[in-house]
Amino acid sequence: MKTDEILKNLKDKFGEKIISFDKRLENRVIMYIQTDTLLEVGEYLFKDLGCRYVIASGSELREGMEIVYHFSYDKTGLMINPRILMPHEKPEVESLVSVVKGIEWIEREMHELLGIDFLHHPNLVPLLKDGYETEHKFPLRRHNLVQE
Amino acid sequence: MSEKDKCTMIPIGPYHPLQEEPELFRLYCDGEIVKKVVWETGYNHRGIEKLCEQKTFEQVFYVVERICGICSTSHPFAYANAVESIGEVEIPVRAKYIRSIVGELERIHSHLLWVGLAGHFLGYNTVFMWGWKYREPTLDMFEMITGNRNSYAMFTIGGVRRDIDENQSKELRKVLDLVKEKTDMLVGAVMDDPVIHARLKGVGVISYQDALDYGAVGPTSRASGVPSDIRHDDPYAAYDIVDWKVITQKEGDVFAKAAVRLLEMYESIKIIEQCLDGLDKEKEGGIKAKVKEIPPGWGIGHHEAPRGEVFHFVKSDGANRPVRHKVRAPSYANIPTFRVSAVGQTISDAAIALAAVDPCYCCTERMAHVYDHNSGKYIFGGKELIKLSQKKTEELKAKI
Repeated sequence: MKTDEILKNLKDKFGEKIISFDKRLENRVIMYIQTDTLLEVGEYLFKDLGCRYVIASGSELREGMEIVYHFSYDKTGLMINPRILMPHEKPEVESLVSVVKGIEWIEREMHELLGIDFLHHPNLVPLLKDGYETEHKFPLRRHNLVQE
Repeated sequence: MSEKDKCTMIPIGPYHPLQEEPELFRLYCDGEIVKKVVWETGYNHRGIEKLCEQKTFEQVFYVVERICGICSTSHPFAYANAVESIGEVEIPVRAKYIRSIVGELERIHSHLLWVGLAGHFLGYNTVFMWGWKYREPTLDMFEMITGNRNSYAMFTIGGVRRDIDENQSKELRKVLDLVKEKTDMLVGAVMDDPVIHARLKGVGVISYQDALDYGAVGPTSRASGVPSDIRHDDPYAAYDIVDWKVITQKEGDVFAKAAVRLLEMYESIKIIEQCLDGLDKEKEGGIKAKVKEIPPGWGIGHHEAPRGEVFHFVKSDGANRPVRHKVRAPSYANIPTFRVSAVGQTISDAAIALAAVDPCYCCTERMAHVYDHNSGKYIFGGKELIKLSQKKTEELKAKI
C-alpha cells in the first residue's frame, strides 16, 4: 500500500477525528489527531495495518503538552506519526499499553520527565530516577512556561 | 507474604565497565527457576536529549556519538539522516559509500565483541579469545580511516568529514579477507558444535508475536522471524545501491540470535567490498554537500545499528539548534523482551538469555553478592553466576 492510499484509508476510517496530515517527504507523515481518539488510531495502526511500534516523543510547547507517537510501516518504510496535544494544566491521555506492550516504559518516562498522566497504565511509576531528588519535578518541562 | 517475598532475589548489574548502559535486573527466583524480572535504569541518565537542545546542529554529532561506546557511529548516522531529512539534503554518492563502510565496520566489530562475550559466558574461552583477537584489526581500520578507534567523528551534515583513499581501500580489503576467514572459523566453532546446540537451542525464546508486541529490533527480532531491517525497509546511504540480504531465523532462541549475528557479518563484509568498489569508480563529487541552514520543520532519521534500529526525531524552528531531540537506542526496545525470554528459565540460562539481546549484560563481575532473605546465607556473586553457566555447559559436554 502506498502512502497516499494509507492516508486516505485513515481519513475514511476516522474522519473528523484526524485533524490534518503533515506530509514532509513521501515516507514521513505526522498525523494530527484528537486526543480522545488515540487508542483507536493506535490499535488500527498496530493491529490492523501491521505497523511496528518504534517509540513516542513527548515535549512541552507553548500551546500545550505534545506527544508524537512513532509507528513504522516497514513494507514501504513509511513513518506514520500520530500527534496529540494536551493542555498544560491537565496533560492526560489514555495509555496504549493495552495495545502495544512495549510502550509501557516510554509512557513511564514521559510521566516522569514531563508530568503527563497515562490513564489505565498498569504501572505508572518513575522509570529513570525512582528514589532520587532532582532540581525540578519534571526535568524536561520548560520551567519558564508553567508553574510546577 | 507476597509471591515476590517468597522468592530469592538475584541482582544483575548495575555497573560494569563493559556495560555502556548501566541497568539493574532483579531476578526473583524460586529455587533454580526465574519467576519474575524487574528492571531498573537511570543510573547513567545524562540528560543528553536536553543537552542537545543547547548545542548547534553540528555540535550535536559529538554529543550523540558518546551515547554508546560500542555503536558510536550509529547515533550520528541516525541523527544525520534526521537533520538531512528536515533540509531535504542529498549527500554525494561518495559520502554514501563511506557512511555505509563505517556503519558496517561497526557492525562487524560489535558482533565479534558479542560472540566473544557469549563464548566466555558459556565457558568457551577460545571463542572469546578469537572473537576479540579478530576484532582488533577492525578497530585498527577505524583508526586508519577516522583517526580514532572509538568515537570516530566521521559524520557531518551533508556527508562525511574524511575521505578514504586508495591505499586505505587496499588495507581495508586485506582486513576484510582476514575477517572473512576468521568468521568462517567462528561460524564453524559455534554452528557445528553439538554442545552449543544443546546449550542454546530452546533457551530464552522470544516468539514472533512477542517480538512485535514489545517492538524488539535488530538481531533480537530477526532471530524471531521478523524481517525488519531499516537498511532494507527505509534505505539510506548506499544500502539501496549495493547487493545484500536481510538475515532472519525463525526459532527466536539464543542460538538463533547468535546465528543471525554471525551470518550478518558476511553481509557486512559484502556491503563494504561493494562500497569500496563504488569508491574506486566514483572519484568525483566530493564527500560533503553544501548545507547553508536547517529550515523549520521536523525530521526522522534511523539507522540499523548492530543491536537494532537507532531512532532520532529532531525538530527545528529555523535557528541553528534543535528545539527537541528524541533519541531511542535499540536496547530500550529490546530490554522489555526479558519478561518473556528470562522468565521460566533456570538461573544459569537466564544470564545468557539476558546477554543474547545485548553484548554486555553477561559482564556481571560488579554484581552485588546475594544472601538468602530468611537465613542470611551467602548464595551468589557475579563470578558464581558465570561459573554456574559454564558448569551447565561442562555437564552437557560430558553427556554429548
